[in-house]
Amino acid sequence: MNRLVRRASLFVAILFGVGAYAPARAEDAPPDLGTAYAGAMADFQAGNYAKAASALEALVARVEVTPQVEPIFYTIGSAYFNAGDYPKAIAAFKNYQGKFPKGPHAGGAAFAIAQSNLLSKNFKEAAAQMAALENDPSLREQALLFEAEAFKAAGNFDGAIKALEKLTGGEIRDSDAMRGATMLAELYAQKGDGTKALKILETIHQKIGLADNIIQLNALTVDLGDKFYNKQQFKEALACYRYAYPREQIIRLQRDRIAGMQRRIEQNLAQVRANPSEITQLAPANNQLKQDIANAQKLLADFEKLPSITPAIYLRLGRCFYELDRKWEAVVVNQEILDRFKEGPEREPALFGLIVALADVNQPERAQQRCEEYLRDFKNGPNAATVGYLLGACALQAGDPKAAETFFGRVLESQPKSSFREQIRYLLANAKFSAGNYADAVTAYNKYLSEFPKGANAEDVKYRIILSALFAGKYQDAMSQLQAFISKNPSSSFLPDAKYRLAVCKYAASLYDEVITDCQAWEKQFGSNPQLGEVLALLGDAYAASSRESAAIPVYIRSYQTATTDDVMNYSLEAASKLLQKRGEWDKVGELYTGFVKDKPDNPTVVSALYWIGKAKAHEGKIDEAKQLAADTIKKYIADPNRDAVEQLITQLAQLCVKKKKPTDAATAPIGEPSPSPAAEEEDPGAELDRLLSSAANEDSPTAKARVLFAKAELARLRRQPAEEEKNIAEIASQFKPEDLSPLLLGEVGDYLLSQGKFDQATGFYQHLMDDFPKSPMVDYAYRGLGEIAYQKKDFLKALHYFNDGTDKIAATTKLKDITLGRAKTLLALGKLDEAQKTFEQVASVREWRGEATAYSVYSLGQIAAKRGKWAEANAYYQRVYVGYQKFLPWVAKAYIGSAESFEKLGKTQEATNTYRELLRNEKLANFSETAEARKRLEALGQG
Amino acid sequence: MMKALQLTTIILLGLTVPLGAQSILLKTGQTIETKGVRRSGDMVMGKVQVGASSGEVGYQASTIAKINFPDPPQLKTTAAFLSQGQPEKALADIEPVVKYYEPFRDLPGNFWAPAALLKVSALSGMQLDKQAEALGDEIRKSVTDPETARAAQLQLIPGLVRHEEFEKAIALCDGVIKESAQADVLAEAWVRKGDALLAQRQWDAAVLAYLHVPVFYEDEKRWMPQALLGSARGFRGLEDLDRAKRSLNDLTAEYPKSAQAEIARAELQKMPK
Repeated sequence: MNRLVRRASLFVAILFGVGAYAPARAEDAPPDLGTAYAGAMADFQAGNYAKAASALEALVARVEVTPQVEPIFYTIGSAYFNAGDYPKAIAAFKNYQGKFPKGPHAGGAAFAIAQSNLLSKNFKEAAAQMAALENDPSLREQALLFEAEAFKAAGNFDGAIKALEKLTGGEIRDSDAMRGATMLAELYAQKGDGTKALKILETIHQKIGLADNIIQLNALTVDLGDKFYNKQQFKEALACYRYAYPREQIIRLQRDRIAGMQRRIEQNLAQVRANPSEITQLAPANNQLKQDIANAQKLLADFEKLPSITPAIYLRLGRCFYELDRKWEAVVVNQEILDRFKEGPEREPALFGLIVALADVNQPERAQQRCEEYLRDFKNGPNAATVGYLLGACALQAGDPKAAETFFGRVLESQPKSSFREQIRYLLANAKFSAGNYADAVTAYNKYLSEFPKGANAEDVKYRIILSALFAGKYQDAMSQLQAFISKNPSSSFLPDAKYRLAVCKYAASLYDEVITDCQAWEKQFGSNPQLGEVLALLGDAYAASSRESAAIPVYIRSYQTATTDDVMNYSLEAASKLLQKRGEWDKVGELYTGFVKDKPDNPTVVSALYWIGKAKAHEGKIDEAKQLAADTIKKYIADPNRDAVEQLITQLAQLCVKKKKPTDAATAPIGEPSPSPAAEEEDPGAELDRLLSSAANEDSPTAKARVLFAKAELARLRRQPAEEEKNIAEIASQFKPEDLSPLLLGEVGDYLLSQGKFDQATGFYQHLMDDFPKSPMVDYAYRGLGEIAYQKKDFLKALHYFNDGTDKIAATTKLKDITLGRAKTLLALGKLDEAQKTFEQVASVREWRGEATAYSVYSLGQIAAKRGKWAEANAYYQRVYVGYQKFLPWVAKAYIGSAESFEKLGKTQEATNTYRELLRNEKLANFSETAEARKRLEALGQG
Repeated sequence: MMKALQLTTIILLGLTVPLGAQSILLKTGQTIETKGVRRSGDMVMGKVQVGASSGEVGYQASTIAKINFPDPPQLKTTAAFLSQGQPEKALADIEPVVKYYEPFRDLPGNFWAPAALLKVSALSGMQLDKQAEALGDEIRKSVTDPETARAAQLQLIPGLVRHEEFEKAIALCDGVIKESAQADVLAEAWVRKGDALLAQRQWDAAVLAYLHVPVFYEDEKRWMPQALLGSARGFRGLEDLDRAKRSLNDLTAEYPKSAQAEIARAELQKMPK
């Protein structure tokens, strides 16, 4: 409409000419034409369009229709258009078209008719009329834009899209094309055409400087994202939200735009200064620019008053990431909102989103902290009930049933009407159950039943009450409850488990025959139940416990074959193997494991099964077959560092190679073939190992090469050649990178380097072991090694961390003794005497660890007592060392000194002197530093 | 101003860095088009065409508002070498640029700081920590742009991580993250923070740090491969092997020519199937 106002105003100058030939008028006569026109135009300029239109219509009735008055006819249409009287505007413009079909404003009149139809909601006509104007280069872009608007308003989205695609086909060159592109993106989104919508959005953002209203464009971008989100097109929604600008960027862009317009004004002024004749064109342009600047500044000022849009956009980003299963990213976004925006409505949903995402990515501790934060800051928030529930659930997820109990208990009190109450009651009882507090669990389950007798978990709860008795070791009680449950609930989903548990109770009561009958009946009734493997294992146990081993073995075999978990499978396989070994049936041990390899060729246990097959063959005297089998298996897996049982096979092969062949082997040479001479049959074990392990396929594999060196080291160990053994391990350490090695080799090399004091190199191998093989049984090496290095570097807190993790986190086995000892000595170094004492006592009490570790521990217990000033107690420990552990000379020497010092502290100088002398008399201790120390002390005591 | 103008006819001998036309913008608003500039004491000598022959015109540095140098292509090529894990090539590429701009360090429009920053990255990549640290210090002291100073600070992080000065490294990153508003600086800060956390086996915190890059600064392509590789290692540490594989696969698919993609391929092969 502004365009029409402006165009009309330009005609004023022309029509002064009209006034020039208008006849003079009398007082009562109508005003002369010039005056009448000037008055009408004054009304037009003042915005009195209806009055202007009437006056101009009266005027044209008085004049002859000539090309000179053509603008008046056009202005009449413009006045009606501006007055909002579209029917009259259409009539006036049509009148113009009739009188001046080729007039200078013919295109404008056609466009105005189309626009009037659009504004009168005659969309069909408007669209058709706009389409007819597409070929006019001066009107093309506007015509296409309005055509699209008309189609869109008429609900013809395809028509609108077609027009807009024409408009934006090449590139976005001006603000009309930018408006069209924006509308097109919206239409694509509405149609669900994400790819096209995103493409056009990308084009828009490349030409963002052409956008009249960045704030509005940003809002539209977010809105598009919401449309996609609501249609569950999360990928497209995410892309939209990423196109949305954060607050700071919008402000910067808007300021840039204002500055750009300001520069254009200045350029125009400079142009006018250079060429004053351009003022007629440039002055209105500058006025328009000033108006645009004012609008832009107002928009910016309003926008700056609003709270930041950024957290709202981030919140949406977070939701999209979550829906796209990129939950860590959702955590990042929600955390960012909380960190950067301390106030605002987005905090609550962001915090809740963060909690849910953290729980999903298995970060229960972090989730718990955030739950606490939520319940503190949004006690009555819309998600408070859920968060209360999640707080306890996360503690359970973190394996902390005690904390879960506390949290659930608290929520039950603070949120008595929580919609999660039933679930919380149930989980609270489960938490007690998981913590092993069976009596409390039963009380909690009963509370559940009293509050929710028909609750969704009622049946489960009733069954868990019975299991509580069983797990508490009350077999008799459990047995009667299970029997009652079975008879009362013949169709319960817990029936198979109940019958199995009943059999377990009977096994505990040594009722083996009943167990056998029950298990056989169970199999008949629930033959396809996944618990079958466990039931068969129990049946095997019952046979074995009642000395029916021949019956037990096939049952164990069936058990491992049907087991659904590796635990049950390995248990039954091992149980069968042990029974066969006990009976000396090594051929059957071989068959058992051969069957296993056939049944489960991809199972990780295969390599150790092959070890047993080889061992069985060796027991049967088939040494060469055993060697070949071991070698073939090794070669198959030698290049894969993840197969950590390969080293077990290598050790087995080395053992076989080192074994001397029995003369009978030679005697059993096939008839017709010459018996090998004794010299020929005694192949050097090293050469034999080389021959057996040589493989062209593995020539280039560093892992294979390192393992061959390990085989040589093993051979040397078995042949008691420690220098050779060390040489081979040292070669692995120097020739190979950590990533080439298997877990055991990483540990062995780490230990070797540690023993050489090469801490940094050792750290690399240990760290790789810890990072790349966290589940390997060999990971113990890493915890022990890294702990020891930290201890040696006197970083006791770090050392304690590794040793604690070694015992608590990974439950070390291979290096448990060293890790426990490391922990004890670190605690002592940190002055934590009580804990250190407890740990040293633990080491000293383990029969299997008896040896140097015991001597060290007993000596350290003496040190702890000495630190407490309990000299008699300390002395007793020291004496225990040099009396009971004489083999471990370094500890003996230290213990003598400790004991003598204790005597001195107790004022028993003679006994102290005797002890120092006893140390000096021991020739084996002559080279120890303690000997010199004893001499010094004797001198100080006047006994030198 | 014109008093300071000198006209000499010197044949310019080969510049180490071939540069196109450069214009000197004087504080008066006057622009002088030149065919190249060089520094001579407190003067900037601009090569201008005088008739058929070329000559040099000298301007007092204090009268110059800015020299419009064309963007040195080495800024891109060096960054590419760095992202391909070739710090030696990166150093050779950027070294002449740093030298060329050295005399113009005090004049607006020069590219010394961004070039020197790349040199620090190259030195750091070659584990020449002391040299990297010294140049980083020099950048921090000489630049007026706070973002460049922050970027220079970040160059200290790899050395700090190598020397296990983790707390210091993380504090530096946090400072930059708090202050900076520049996407490339922020992306680098998050990657460096991730590196410091990863080195301490703080897997979850490292993952969260690295993921800031793909989440908020995915257009900062130089830092994406490092962020993806770092996050994959973090996920592996968290024993989330599926997610680790996803990050490694994203890395090899989207940045196949990066140095990190090569490592990712090797790490993918070692992942349990």
